Amino acid sequence: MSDIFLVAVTNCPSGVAHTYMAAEALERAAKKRNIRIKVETQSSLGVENKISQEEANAAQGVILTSDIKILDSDRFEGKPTVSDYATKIIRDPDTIIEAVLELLAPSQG
Amino acid sequence: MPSLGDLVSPRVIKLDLEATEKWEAIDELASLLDQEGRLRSREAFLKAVAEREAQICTSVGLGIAIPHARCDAVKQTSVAIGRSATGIQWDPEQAETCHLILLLAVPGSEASKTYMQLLAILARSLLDDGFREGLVQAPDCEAVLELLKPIRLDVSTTED
Repeated sequence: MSDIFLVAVTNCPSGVAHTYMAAEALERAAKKRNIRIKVETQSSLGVENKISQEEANAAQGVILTSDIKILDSDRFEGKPTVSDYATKIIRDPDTIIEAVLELLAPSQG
Repeated sequence: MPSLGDLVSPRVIKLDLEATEKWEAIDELASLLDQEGRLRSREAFLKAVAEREAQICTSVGLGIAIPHARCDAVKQTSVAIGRSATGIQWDPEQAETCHLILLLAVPGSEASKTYMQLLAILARSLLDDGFREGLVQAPDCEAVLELLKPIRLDVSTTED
């Protein structure tokens, strides 16, 4: 397992399908790279797998869906953050993970 | 604990949809549910699906669509599954076509939370490449059912 720890929050304008599919896609793509990730879902089912402020502080990078406003996004203030639509993350989670890793690259030496 | 396989019977699976358009496909799958006695009213169910579809487009990427409705026209929680080799355009704004359609029908008496949890489980399971490819390549309805059986439906039945 690498030392990289990412956090992500997914949501979608209505219903739950895209929220959970985007979460699953990110978890799978991170696992493939041996990267730790915690994905919070915000949907009609409420907030699940909530990211604490401590976890947000510990994370090197943040991935957010951009479909609708993320609740409590101030947890991630100042963190390298990338965002994209849930449908795009579902189709291609690798690209957004690579994008956030790229933001981290300088500090990883 | 029930599994996804419990919501499906071989007769609500159609591996070669005749439909070439979205509403034909939804109608074709709803008719399968109706013929199996899983609906009170096919028309009322289709109307509820249409209302939902008007709010959001239910294509979720990866060539999959999950149209769904919870209403009193549904007798029994069910998933009808259809495949289209040619592909069906789902979202008028996107060129991508859907090859796998899962129509979720939930009775109005079921808690909204249970309904959403079912949808979430269904959606998550489809991200598993093995499961998805299995559905696409399954030679017959029985093979589809075998793929659905291991997927546990760990849903709560209480409203909160």
